[in-house]
Formats: sequence, C-alpha cells, structure tokens
Amino acid sequence: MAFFQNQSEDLIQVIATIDAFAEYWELEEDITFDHDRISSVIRGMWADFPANGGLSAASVFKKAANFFCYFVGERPIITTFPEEIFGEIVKIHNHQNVMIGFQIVANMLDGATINRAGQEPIVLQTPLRMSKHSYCDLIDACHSITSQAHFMMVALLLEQITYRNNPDASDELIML
Amino acid sequence: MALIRHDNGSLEFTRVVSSTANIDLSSHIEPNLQAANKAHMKNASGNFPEISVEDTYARTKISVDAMKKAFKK
Repeated sequence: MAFFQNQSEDLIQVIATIDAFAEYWELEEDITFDHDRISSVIRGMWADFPANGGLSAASVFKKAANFFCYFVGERPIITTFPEEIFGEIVKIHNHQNVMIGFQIVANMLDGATINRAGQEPIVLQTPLRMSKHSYCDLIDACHSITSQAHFMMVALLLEQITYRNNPDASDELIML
Repeated sequence: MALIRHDNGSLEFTRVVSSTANIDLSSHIEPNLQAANKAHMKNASGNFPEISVEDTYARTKISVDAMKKAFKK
C-alpha cells in the first residue's frame, strides 16, 4: 500500500498509524478519533489539491503537506496526550493532531522517490530526524495550520527537513 | 502489535476508538487493487513507498522508541 494510491488504502494507513502510536507510546487510554473527519481529510486531500498542476504533478512534499494541513485543520484526534509522558507540549492546543499527523508524514516520506527530469529517481534513504527542541517548536508552530493558508510553507518546511537528513537528494544550492 | 489480521483478511485495530456511531474498527478490508490502477496514480514528480500495514507499525515503533529516549531526558 502507498499513500495517494487509493482512498481506502489511505484510510487504513492513517488508522494504523494512530493505533501504533497508542500502542508504542504505551498510552493508558486508547485514542479516540472522529472517523467522519478522517474520511473528510482523505477526500479533501484528493479533491482539492492547492498547487498548480494538481495532485498528479505534485511532489511528495506537496502531497505530504496537503495531507498534514488537512489533518491538523480537521482535528480528527479527540484524545489529548498525557503530560507525564510528553511534558509541556500537551499544553499546546491541538497538539495531538500535529503529533500524529507528523508521524504519518514521517512514515510517508521514509523511502519516498523524487523524480527530476534527466536524472535517475532519488530514493529518500534516511527517515526524518530532528531535535526534541525543534519537534516541540514544530508542534507549537503548526497547531492551527490550514491547507488554504499554510500549504506552501509546510511543503517547504517538509522539503528542508528532508533535505537536511538526505543532503544528496537536494537540488543544487545557490548563494543568496 | 495492536493490529490483528483475521483469517478472512480483515484488519482489526485494538488501540483506537471511533467517536462516530456505527463505525466498526474490527473489520477493515485491505484493498486489493489492480496493478494498472496503481500505475495510473504514479506521477512524474515522485511517489511514496509501497509499504504494508505491518511496515507502518514497524516504522512508527522505530520513531516512537527514538522519541521516548529524548522525552525521558
């Protein structure tokens, strides 16, 4: 299965990631989510792609950003996370949707392929990594994003985090 | 693993609860798509990897294990 192949596959992968997140963080409480909102996220990210050329021409960063913005904006995860495990970040409104949305994006981009004209496809070999400090800042920065307002900024952010971890995948850098 | 794969191929998720009425999380059916359909969705700029549901659990576990160490410090 892969994201953006089929809406049924997307739904299963999203629920599986939420399920795994609860299991491996050993949360005492199962995670409650709104199934209708998740279905809405998936329908929306397929139907209303905000970039020129639409979904069929978009990079993996734009597709991942569109999913992330929709997910955070729709707020399908109802359960908030315990402070005894996650600390101060759970005081950030909507932290749970940013954290799980970003986990799904990290799973998506690990092993994704970038195609550039005239070049061999580039496979992203290194999963996304960042410091705890940056991760907490990301939750704070993204807790109220929407696809309409933040899609391109989030796509750029995901691209730059990915290239930091996979420098060989980057376009040639130019001095500014 | 929180995932249960039943003999009939359906998937059961055991650590999540739907707040939406009449949603059964114990019988999701994994789609079996035609290769041609998948090829149709490939695009010129790049694609996400083909991974199984079990791969999703494995990836999430690696990530969570790493974050647990950071959050315990």
